[in-house]
Amino acid sequence: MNATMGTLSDAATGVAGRADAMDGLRIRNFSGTVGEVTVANPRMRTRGVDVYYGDKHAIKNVTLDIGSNEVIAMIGPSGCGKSTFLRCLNRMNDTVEGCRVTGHITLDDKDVYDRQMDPVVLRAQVGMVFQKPNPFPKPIYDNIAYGPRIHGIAASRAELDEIVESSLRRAGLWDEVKDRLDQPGTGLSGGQQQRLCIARAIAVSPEVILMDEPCSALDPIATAKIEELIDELRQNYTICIVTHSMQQAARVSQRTAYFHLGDLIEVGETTQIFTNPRHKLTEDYITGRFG
Amino acid sequence: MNGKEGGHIVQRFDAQLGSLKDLVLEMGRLVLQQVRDAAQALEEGDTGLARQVVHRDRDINTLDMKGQELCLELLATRQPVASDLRFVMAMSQAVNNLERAADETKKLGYVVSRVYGENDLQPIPSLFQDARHMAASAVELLEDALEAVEELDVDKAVAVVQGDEQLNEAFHAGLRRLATFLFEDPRNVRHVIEAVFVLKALERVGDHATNLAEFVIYAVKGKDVRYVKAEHLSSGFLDAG
Ligand SMILES: Nc1ncnc2c1ncn2[C@@H]1O[C@H](COP(=O)(O)OP(=O)(O)O)[C@@H](O)[C@H]1O
Ligand SMILES: [Mg+2]
Repeated sequence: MNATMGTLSDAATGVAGRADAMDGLRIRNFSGTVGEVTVANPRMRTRGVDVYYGDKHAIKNVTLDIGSNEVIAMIGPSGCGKSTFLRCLNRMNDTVEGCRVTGHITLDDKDVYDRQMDPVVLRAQVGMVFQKPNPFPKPIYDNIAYGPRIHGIAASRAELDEIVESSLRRAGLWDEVKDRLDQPGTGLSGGQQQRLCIARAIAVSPEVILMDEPCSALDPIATAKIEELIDELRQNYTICIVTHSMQQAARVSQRTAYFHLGDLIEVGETTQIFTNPRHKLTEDYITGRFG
Repeated sequence: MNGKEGGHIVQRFDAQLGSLKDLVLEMGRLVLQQVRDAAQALEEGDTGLARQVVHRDRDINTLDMKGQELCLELLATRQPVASDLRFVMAMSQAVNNLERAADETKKLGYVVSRVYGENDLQPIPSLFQDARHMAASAVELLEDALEAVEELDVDKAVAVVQGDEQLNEAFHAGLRRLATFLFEDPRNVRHVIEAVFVLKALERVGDHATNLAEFVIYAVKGKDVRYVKAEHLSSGFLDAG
């Protein structure tokens, strides 16, 4: 991302200066977001992030910490920029034609947009699960083994077997597929495919897993299994989930962020957001008064 | 509509919230009438009216069940959140408190029947002199609490919470007078006990009116003020993040 460094200073000097901008707990909330945008133990930090698609300003000056081992939910009306924001976190926007990202994003205090940062490595550390399950049209085994192979994570076949098994176990899929690892992943049910995609993300030992409406194509039972899985995964990973289901956000997350027309309007503890939101736009959206 | 500006996209949701509030207000009017009638029965030694009060408690129980059903239905089918959730919780609590306030009026009805019914007790109406003022205060608090519910008016609700302090003071003053009376002539113990029941019941009606008001504050402001001292209920306190 070419413009990142320059633009950060531009954005920051006017208001606070760079040192301030990256100082986790004392961060100034220039963007007017309601609620605490920082956390005590951040895994990722975004500071003054803007995203443009050509002239379209899709994300506006968003500052937000993603805490370690938390599930943070991104909610908001269609087109408000949830997916765009999510894609900034592992530089998936790099591949989008005409997309420009400015501001500052770190993973464990390392600049995600630094020239030294290899996007392929970054996307292993910050994995992604999409709305529509997208297993490779290959055996279940290879779906999982693919990442560890290209990243040279496994030294031997036995080690690879172990990674495949443990990833599938963590994704709650092992018992269902252990006898058919040679069969194509595309032959699984929708819910199983989604858990396969989660296992695939886990296989490369990520720190953060991004999920963009991971259950919108699933029935309530398959959805419940994914939600249960999310709860378990939180022990080891940080999860950032975009969902259009308010109930899902309420069920799975500890913090909730509400986006509106590219602005991060409010962020807070999920319980607070759903019982006593502070911003009227949040209130109107979650209560179904959005006009 | 639950009284806030801007309706839901799903209008039926507004209609359901509206019926819930209507039910609470209807129940509130019945309970108010119960307090007035019980006080009048006591004042006039009217055992017939006292029996009516006791009898009418069933209508209030019916509304209690209806109200709780409506709340349950709203929770199950609408999954309300934020101000809607607080409103439904508040109305559920309001229904519960109105039912219990009505139980207190039933107790008053029983006292009137015991004291003025056929028995060997010679009534001493002067023992009930504090009850008259306390009943008037309780009626006023309940009226104001119901207005606060109707308009989701925090200022009115705060006034009710603060007003209840006076009723509590009247209750303790009344108890002291009854104690004096008892010291002067211990043979009046049965009368005094009945009078204590009366004062206690009226004091409880005030408490339930206060609870109603506190749940209005919760519904509107999202703050649980049940354990906050009445004098601290300034708008600054209520609006602080
Ligand atoms: N590749 C793109 N090119 C141009 N505009 C885009 C592109 N992707 C998203 N947008 C626009 O950016 C805004 C945010 O989109 P998106 O992040 O997908 O929203 P959400 O995920 O909240 O529905 C929308 O107005 C959308 O039309
Ligand atoms: Mg999206």
